[in-house]
Amino acid sequence: MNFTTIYLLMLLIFAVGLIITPVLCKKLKVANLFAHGIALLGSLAAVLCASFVFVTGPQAFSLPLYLPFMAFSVRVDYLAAYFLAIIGLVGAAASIYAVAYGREYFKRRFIVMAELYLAFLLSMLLVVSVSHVFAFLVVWEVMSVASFMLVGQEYDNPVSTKAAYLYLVMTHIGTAFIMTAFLLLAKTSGSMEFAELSALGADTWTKNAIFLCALIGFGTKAGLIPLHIWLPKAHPAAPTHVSALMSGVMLKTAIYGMTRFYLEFLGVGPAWWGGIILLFAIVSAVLGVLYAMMEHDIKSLLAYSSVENIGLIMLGMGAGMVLMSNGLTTLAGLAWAAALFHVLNHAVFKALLFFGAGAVISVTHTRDIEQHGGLIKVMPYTAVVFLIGAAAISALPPFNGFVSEWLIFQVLFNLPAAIGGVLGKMVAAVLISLLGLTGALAAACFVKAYGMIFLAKPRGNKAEQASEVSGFMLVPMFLMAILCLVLGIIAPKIMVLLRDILAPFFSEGVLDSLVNSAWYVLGFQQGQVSAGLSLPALGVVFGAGIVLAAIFYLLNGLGKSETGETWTCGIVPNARMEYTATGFSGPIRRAFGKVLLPQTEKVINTNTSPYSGWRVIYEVHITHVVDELVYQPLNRRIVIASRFMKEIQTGSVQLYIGYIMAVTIGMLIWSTRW
Amino acid sequence: MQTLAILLLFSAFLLTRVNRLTSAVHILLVQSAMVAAVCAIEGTGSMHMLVAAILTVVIKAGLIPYALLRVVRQLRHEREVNPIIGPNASSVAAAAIIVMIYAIVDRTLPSVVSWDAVAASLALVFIGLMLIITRRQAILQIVGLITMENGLYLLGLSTTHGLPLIIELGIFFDVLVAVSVLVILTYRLKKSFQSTDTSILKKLKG
Repeated sequence: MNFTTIYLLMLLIFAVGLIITPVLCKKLKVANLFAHGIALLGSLAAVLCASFVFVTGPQAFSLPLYLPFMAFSVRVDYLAAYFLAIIGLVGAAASIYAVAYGREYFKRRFIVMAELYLAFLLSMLLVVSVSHVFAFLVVWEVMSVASFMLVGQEYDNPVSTKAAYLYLVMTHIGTAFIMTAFLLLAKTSGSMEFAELSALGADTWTKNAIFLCALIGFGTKAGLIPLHIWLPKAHPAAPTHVSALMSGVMLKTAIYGMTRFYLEFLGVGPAWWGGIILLFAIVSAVLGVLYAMMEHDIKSLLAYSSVENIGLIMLGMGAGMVLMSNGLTTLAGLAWAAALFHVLNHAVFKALLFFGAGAVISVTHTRDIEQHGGLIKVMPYTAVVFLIGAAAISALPPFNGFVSEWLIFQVLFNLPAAIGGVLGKMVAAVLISLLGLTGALAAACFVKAYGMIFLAKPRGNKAEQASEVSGFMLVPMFLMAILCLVLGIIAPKIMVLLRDILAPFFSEGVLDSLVNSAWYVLGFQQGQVSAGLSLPALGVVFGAGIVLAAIFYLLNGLGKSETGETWTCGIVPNARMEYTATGFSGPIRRAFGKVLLPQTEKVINTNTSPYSGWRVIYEVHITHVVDELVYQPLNRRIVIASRFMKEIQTGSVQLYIGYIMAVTIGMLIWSTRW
Repeated sequence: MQTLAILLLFSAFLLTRVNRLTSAVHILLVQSAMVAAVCAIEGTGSMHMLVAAILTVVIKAGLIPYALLRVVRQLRHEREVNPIIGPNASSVAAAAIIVMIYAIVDRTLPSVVSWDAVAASLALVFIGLMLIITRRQAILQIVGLITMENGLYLLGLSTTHGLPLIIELGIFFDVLVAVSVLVILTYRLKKSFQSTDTSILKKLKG
């Protein structure tokens, strides 16, 4: 058994799935099990590939395709294997989940959806493992197009199709930039193979151009503000198992691309590169979480939270680049490790939260959290795993989100060492306080989401008739929840892994001080700077908490408890008395009024019966600044410009050919002047 | 060689004057046969040029005119009644094109050996394009397309002395498929609209 065999086996599994699934179009139940079973097998094969690489070292092979410019060359180094493992892991969970969720689509193009799902998963696995510019661009496009079609899966819903087309436009703009970056790079290095790509010979302008093109191109895919507008519309529109993959994994392929460019191809750049990334990252983090806080559509909320988390990841990357350009390589390694660790963590808990959201949607048939409520009583398991996911994304120990966010904080604390002077301290202080704000808002956001969905009384009829979801949904959720906890506890082990991943991009031995021998302590040391996070210490804090609780219990007992309705001055409490999501986010909306620009609309109807009081309709909308300031004016300009283009599009075949002839003759005449 | 070039241009010139579809296809047949003759003369002794010539005869002078004549037989009463530019004007235009192309080629490629062949083939390409633009009948547009294709083929032949056989085979196959599709489309047009006047296609635009 060698690597090539396993890899080709993985491709074969997907190929079998893609070919056989359409044959089963008469037996949807079989097709459902078969297609998603194949996806599960393929994902596990990917995980196997990745583990093989981690055990035996980087692998590469190349198959000739007999096409010009094109060779199917695969190179899985540690970095690629890491991403391959993440995609495989989340893909496997999503495939189990899809068996249950796919049933909702039996009447709506199910076979097409299953095929696209397989293609989407396969293309993501290929994106991180192929190592030829041309092949990369091709599979990148396949990934974009497959996900575009999945976003438009609910083709009879105009909101979905609009979101899908917006996504298509944005992703193609991004691809254009990625292509430019790759072609500039290939031109300077004279090769299309990743192993030989390098910008060492390029002049400063070319390097800067490559950097910016890669940032815009991959930033569009990653959903970096201000290039994010497609993300909160497209992710909710897709079927939930696809949303989980898009948010959890597809965004990470962009991070993979950026890591390749900034760590491997471009080498050490000027400090302003990192500075730009830091700027966009912190804006994405803060605005992303603010918009998430204001969102009442559960899937849009999760999508905006992805924008925030991409911001956190890029914060690590940006800090890494700043530190690197100032020669602080160990700290730079720590920053990249933090970023990559958060990639894994976000993939796990975002997938978990999307699964939870999908479970809730599948029983209530609405995405509006104002219509949910009280689901903890009917869906206890879902409620528990969703809580774990919410705790992990809010960076609470002992879950995984805490560790990576702690690492990012540590990196930012050490940023002044790189920039130096008052400026460095100021920048670091601003970044740290904004990051703290982001964390607090994320916690508030998920308190809101959890409280509105699971606590109190049902707010709508559908929430009242809900029941627990099937095992196919619960199993992947539990797996991801366990993973959240395990990754938090074995974090030092993951750091060893990340050291190995990053080591090839740094000088020998630079990263050794990132890890230490004790498996229960996460720590690093660089000169005077050191920090550590130890599991026993956390354990002591937890233990102390438990002991305190026990002491209080011994002193006071549990107290007498009596079950009954909440006392509401003699009226039977009903759902209309509950705290609403709009109400919960009100203080934050006011505090950040300058950024969110809320517009309230209040309609008071006094013409009702004098005994029943007035009927008040209260609506609040926030303004998405980027959308209104950049995209809508741009959109208007394009529409006006296309009106002029319409004039020359008459529909007459002869005229079209006439254009061609005129241009050709013009070029011929032009050629004589040379 | 020069005689053939002149004859080819004359055939293209004739095409600007015909109204009847059958005559147009017949002229095209002769024209393609002349292209095959050029091919055979140019590459005397070379096996691969001979194959190309035979293929030209079989496909361009055989299969394509046969398919066109078959469909033309079903299109009774179809002729070019109202061309966008009348026969006299298009003949003048063709003459103008020939003069212009010879002038351009004379200026850009004065030292090339086969510059008269290059000029003739380019003129053929542009007369073909002009035919497509000025005629409303679908069949005449197809004839224009093949004329253009003949010109392109001659251009390739005169500048490179034979493309690789695999590419030539590809081009032949391409033309064959294009013409079959066009013939089918023409037939459909006749069935749906009782006419093969392509200006009705304007209605398709939303």
